[in-house]
Amino acid sequence: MRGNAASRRACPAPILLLALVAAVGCAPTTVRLAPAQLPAKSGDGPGYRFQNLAGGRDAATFQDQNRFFVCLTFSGGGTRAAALAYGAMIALHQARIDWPHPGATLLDEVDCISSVSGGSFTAAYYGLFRDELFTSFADRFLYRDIQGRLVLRALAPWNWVRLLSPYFSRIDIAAELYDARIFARKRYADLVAAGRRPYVILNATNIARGTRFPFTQDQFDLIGSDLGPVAVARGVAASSAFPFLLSPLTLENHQPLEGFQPPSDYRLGLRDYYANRSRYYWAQSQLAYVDDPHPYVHLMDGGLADNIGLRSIINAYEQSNGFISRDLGRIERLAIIAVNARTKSKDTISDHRRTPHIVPSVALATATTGMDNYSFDTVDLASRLAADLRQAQLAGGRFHAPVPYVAEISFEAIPDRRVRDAFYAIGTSFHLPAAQVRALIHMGCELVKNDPTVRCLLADVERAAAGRGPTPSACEEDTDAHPRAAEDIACPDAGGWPPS
Amino acid sequence: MEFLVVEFDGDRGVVINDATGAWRTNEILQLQAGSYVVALEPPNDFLPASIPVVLAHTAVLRPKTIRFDRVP
Repeated sequence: MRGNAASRRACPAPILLLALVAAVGCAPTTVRLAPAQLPAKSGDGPGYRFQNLAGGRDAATFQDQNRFFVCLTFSGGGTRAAALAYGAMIALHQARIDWPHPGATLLDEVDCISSVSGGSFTAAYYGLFRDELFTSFADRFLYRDIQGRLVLRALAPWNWVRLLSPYFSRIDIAAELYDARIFARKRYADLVAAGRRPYVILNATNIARGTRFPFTQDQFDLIGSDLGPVAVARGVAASSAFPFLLSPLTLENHQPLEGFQPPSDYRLGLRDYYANRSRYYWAQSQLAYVDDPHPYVHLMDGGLADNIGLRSIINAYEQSNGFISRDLGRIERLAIIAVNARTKSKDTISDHRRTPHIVPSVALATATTGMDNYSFDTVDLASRLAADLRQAQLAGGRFHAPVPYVAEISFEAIPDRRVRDAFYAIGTSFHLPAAQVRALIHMGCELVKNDPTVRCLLADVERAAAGRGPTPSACEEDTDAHPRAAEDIACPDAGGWPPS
Repeated sequence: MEFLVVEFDGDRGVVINDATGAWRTNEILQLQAGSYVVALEPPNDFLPASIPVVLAHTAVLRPKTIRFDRVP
């Protein structure tokens, strides 16, 4: 049951002592959307939306940047995932291409990054600070004992009082730490003001519904809230709030909001039970924030709904008001590179007849096994959509669609079994030995450099720069392409890990 | 995915579910299966004002076709 808007507060405090605790222990929530910020029925409006970057939808720069459309996804997996994604970024940063913009790198062409959990640190840092990623991120985050600092902060006496409050929890301590030490207190309004791509989508999970909750203004519209004043660190914290270790992050839902109309796409989706079940259920889950509003939304690790971050990109491609779908006809090449830091832990549960302990065995299996199985399906879905697009291109003429590329960067591609198993054994934590971090950075870079789809993409781009058409793709002719852009990538040293 | 052609006497932007994009008349548009309301970008010299359509069971070689007529 929900209270009325006037009596609803983030921190109700019935007596003086509780008021004091609440005053010092009250996490920021969200600010109600002002009437001028309400979106149109198309879903367009101010705030952190794809169509407001790169000069806006009507700008020549916006259309020009769409020609080569590159999206990255970074999976969960703590520092392991962040380091692997960072290594991948090094490879993209070194891959020199001359199409469609002479002298650019593949990283310059990245239009969106969708991330989950540990991968969200790398994604948000690049979104905010661009090439500073390569000079400061490793020291600020990858090599730092973030886990230890979280514990120290939680144990600090001033935080004991705050943690007594039911409106402040461990995740808020984490968000404060990330905000101050990693993300320089940047807000989403800073990303809007910068006005440049990539569009960074940090994905959390609404634990009541089990659905994705991306930190974008499109999603915040549905809870009647302005994403602008929200710290980017809170998006990262929500995205990486691993079950049992961290608590959920809470946002306030300001719906119902006078004058708000959800995008037409959502309302029409409710008619599609027979025509398209996934669209129907998606529309239902999104409209529930408006039609059956509860005053709060509790968010946890984005990996609970999609541990590879790819669903946000697939939605942007499939849904008619999605930012890829709307401009598909102007895109010449569409590349999706999914960096998946999935591991395979040894099966120790099945060695014993005794019932596994609830904590940690069953709890961890519940939190992680489903995530990883679902990731495979998601990559497979993206590959099938790309295959469908290639088929549809056979129509030629009146059908304008991009040449699609879907690459998955994962430890599975490491040829040496001993090395592969060593990477698979790296734990999920926010503190790894420096040798492992170095090796992960090296491997992220090498896996991108040697990935057949990435090489094929780079070969096609080199052909395009030389004035040759978009088809046939190098993938169709030669599965072992040797583009110069890939050969020139010099990955950082592995540092001798894993030891032989 | 499903395929739609919006026929019109001339090249014009297509409005789908109140949103504009790179959708053009007389081209094959790709959309996911489901319900849409299709219109054209201004000027408002066409009829009907909008067309509801449910996309299902189409193929790129056999798209669903709808038509707007130009009015003086």
